[in-house]
Amino acid sequence: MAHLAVVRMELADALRQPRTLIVGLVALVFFLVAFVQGAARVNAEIAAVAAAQAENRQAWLAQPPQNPHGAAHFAVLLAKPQAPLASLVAGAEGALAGHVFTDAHRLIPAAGSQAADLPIGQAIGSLDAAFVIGAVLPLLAVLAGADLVAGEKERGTLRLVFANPVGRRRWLAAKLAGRTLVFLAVVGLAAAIAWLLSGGLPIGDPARLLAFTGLSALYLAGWLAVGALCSVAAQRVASAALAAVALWIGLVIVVPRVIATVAELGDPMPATSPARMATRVEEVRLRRKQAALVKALKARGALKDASPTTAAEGPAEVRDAIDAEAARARAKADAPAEAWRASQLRKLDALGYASPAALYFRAAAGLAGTDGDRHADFLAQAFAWRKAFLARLNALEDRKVAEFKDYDAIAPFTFVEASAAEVWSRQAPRTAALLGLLLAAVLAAFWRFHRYDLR
Amino acid sequence: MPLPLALVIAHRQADTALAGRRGLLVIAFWTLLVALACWSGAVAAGGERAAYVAGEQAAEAAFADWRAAYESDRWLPVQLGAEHPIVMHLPPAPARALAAGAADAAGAWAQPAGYHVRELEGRKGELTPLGALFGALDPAGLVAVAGALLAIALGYDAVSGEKERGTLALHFANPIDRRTFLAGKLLGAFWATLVALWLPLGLGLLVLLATGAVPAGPGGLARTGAFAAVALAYLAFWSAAAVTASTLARSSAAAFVGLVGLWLVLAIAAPKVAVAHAASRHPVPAPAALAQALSGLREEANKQYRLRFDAFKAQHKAPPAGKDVQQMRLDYYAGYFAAIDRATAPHTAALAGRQGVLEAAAAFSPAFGFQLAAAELAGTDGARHRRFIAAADAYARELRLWPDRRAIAGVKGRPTWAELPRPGYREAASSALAPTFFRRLLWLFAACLTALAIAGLAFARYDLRLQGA
Amino acid sequence: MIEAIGLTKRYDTHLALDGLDLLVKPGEVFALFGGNGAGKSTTINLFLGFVPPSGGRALVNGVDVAARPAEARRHLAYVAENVMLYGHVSARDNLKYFAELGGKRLSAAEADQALARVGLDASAFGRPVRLLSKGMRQKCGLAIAFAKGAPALFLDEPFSGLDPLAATELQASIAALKADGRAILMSTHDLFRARALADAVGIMRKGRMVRRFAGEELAHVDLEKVYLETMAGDAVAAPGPA
Repeated sequence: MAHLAVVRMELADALRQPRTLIVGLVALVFFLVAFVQGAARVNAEIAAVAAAQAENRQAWLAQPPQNPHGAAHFAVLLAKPQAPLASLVAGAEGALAGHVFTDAHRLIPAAGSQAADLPIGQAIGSLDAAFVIGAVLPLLAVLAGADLVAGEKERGTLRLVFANPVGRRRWLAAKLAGRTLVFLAVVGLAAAIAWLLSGGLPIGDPARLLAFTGLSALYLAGWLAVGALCSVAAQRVASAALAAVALWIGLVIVVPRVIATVAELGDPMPATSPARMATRVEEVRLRRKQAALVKALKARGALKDASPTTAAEGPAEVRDAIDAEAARARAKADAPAEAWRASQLRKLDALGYASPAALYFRAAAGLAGTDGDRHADFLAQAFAWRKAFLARLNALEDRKVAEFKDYDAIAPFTFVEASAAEVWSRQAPRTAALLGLLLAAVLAAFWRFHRYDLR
Repeated sequence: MPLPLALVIAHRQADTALAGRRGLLVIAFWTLLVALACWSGAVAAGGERAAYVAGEQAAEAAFADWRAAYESDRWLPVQLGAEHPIVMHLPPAPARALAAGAADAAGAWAQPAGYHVRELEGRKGELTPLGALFGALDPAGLVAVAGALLAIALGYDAVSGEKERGTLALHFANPIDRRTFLAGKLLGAFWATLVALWLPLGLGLLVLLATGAVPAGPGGLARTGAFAAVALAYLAFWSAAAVTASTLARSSAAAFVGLVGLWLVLAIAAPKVAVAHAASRHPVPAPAALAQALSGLREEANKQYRLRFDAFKAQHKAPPAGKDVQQMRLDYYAGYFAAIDRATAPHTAALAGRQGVLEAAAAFSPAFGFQLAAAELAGTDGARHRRFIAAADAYARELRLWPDRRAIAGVKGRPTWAELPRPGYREAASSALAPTFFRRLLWLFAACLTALAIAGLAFARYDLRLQGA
Repeated sequence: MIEAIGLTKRYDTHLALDGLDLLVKPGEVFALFGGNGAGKSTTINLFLGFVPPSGGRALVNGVDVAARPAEARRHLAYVAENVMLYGHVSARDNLKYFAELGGKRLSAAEADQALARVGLDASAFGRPVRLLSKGMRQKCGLAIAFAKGAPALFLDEPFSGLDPLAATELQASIAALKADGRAILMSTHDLFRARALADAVGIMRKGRMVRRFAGEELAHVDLEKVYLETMAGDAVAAPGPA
């Protein structure tokens, strides 16, 4: 069982190496900052939304005419609950709004993402756990891997090892397995300690946390294997480390950022303001059209003992027709931006495969629910909620119920998270790609080591 | 004659750092990165400019359409203030290609309708959150992160490497004093950084200017030149830090590890921690809460207006009309605007507080200071956006007040586009950036000098003996 | 037993080893001399199987290294010129590790015994190797070879850089291994210690073994003189830039 001895030596060596301590300390400090800030970020959002909801209720109670028609026009706040792993993966959530208002005719687009109040912050990004694992730890992993074989060669132990009946493949497998184990254990321990020191994190879903942990381990193991590949491609640790750092800069820092540029190449973001201007003009035109229709009906005496809503806005057919026309106009105005968004999402998804870091950030945000997909779900569910709420109010009016006083009787909006299976299956291709990368790096390392110069 | 000797040592150091394949690889790699970053910056700048032009072109036509929606000249002033489709576009940043800064996150235009403009719209990040997830590549970010790491790679073994090679003792077997040697090492490291990192960057900047990606003219030239200067100071800091670490550490490997740690803290963590700290130290009221508060204030203002209206009616036995109602409305707006100012004061104060935290962080982290300086020079800093938002907010009020003032002045009919007041946003002159720019440059020099002082102190008692035995 | 039969190694056009014939029997020490690039390291690398031969055979205990490297490595042990072990790990654990790679699991007591046998001070057993002096590390290397119990030993310049006392102690340890019945092939520049230890010596030049002495002949030859004469041939063959 010589290869077990290699694993044991790897562990024994690692336990005494200052390098291990450095990795642990760096991971600990970064995780601690990430957890503390992640918890602060999420708790602040939760508190802010709770405060806004309380004010929404107060505003409802303060409004004078509390009838179904007024309720329809009251701006009900629909808050997006914090994503299950928002405290670990800030993702794109900072660029997105945390709530919408609804009223009778539209979802009032939610103002105020975190980006609006600190745009430079969005550009610089947050130091969340995903960044620590996705960008910082790979540097340590790739450097740990770069020492794997070249280090033994520099110390001369490689010759000593292979003066014994040890197979190259087995030895490399044992070394790689041992070092990966140690690295993941140290990083995991650091994360656990940071977790305890930070006083816990709001985590929405343990199953997703588990998936996130697995994804992270796979990703880091991949970087270690990439480092090992550098190590067997070089004869000296310094060259291996230089190549490893260059790969890290390229794949973690540069490529993910180039992706956005490449996606926009020949497909720049269209101007979004013309849509707003057109919509505003259309709103005026439709309001005047609706008023004219209602006026004509009134002149014919058709709205004599109609409900307040019908008296003001016409019967359901008119309202629906106007609403439909407005929706069509909005869709038409938004079409260029929507088309651009769709093509960008497609391209960004495809281009993400150019870098493991991009894949990881994307998959982690997907698992966390902070990648924009969940936001789209939220908007769709809010829209559906508004439709149901309006239908209920209209039914009340039709039954000639004059009062609608109880804010708490408004069916609360509860956001339904995508099922774990769905979330997971969305990220399965990326996970498979990361696994493929890991295997490719390992295979390449084995292939290269097969002809490695042991002298 | 210590200076010529220092130059000889500097030449050897630069030559060693850039010698052979390693130097060539570093230069080639860096040139590729600079090319990518400049290209990426140019693409972004082009997209921004095109969107601006398209938006401005659409604005006049949209106003004409809107005007046509009202068939007659029967025109209530309130309609212009409340329903106009006018959009104010943030002019393209003067040198967007240099630094993305806050550009993608802050938005590109504002609709000065409603009663209060809180933020800009058309945020790219909102449309494609994935793009926001990956971030943008720009020359500033590249220098701040990768440039720093490569400057480290060029100098981390300046002194410790001599010791490891056994050449340190050879130096000091000659009549060289320590200061001369250290000065030579530092000069050599600076020289290597200048040649390998700064020159390719300068070349990239020249290409940006030549292709018009950064519009030339005195503003563009001055901004690009200032960017090059601040980038040089920033890279020099990392060079100095590298040499310092190599005089402090026992081995080149230890120096490298320490430097990467410093880099992780100063270039990677500090900016992120700073922005997160700014956000949590100075929380802004939830936008929803502000919206609620404003609508509450409006209810209150409306109530006051109705009271005045009814009082007028009781007094004059007729509802107010003409100039009376117009003046009443102007008073209503004045009161409501004052209330808005009070309600939004905490928001404004929080934003100012955040800026303060960022300033403190910029003094601590050269990387962050450099990034702020770059964004300011590019015109993509948060402050420029705030100035524009303030102008849009003022314009929204102007559009509320203007129709009634116009009516009081006796002008009738639907207003034309040419007649409308223009938004009051003026781009700050490049020269206005000078004080901030020089302050940031001074901080970078201070950081450099600190590193040099530490290097001097450390090397004064450096153990010159050969290692091992 | 260590045996080379027409062993040849060619790198592109350069002939690093040219038809080496060599036999080292159990209990014998063969010392290889020669300048840098003479072919000593190539010879050892061929026996370790780190490079494939271009011709001829290298046999360790009768096993052809090129044909059955794993089997051959069971029978050989190797001591590097500068023994750099796992610096943060103790001498004892290093020894146990390499013994296990060689197929032997040692208890701590057995490991200590092996370390004691090469004359390493007991206080050094548990210390991390990076804190040991070069002489002590060299002894560790020898102890590892000892512990493996391999019949064939390859020593790469074992005395280089050692102080006279350390070298003398190391010499005694090698003598003990020889007495133990191992076949030892060592490359060295130390003519005097080699003469004291070796049963046969060979002087190499440009990949060929040009002189060889054994037994009676070795006892009487002035090795230094012969060595200098042989090397002088180099100087003639490769005139300097005068």
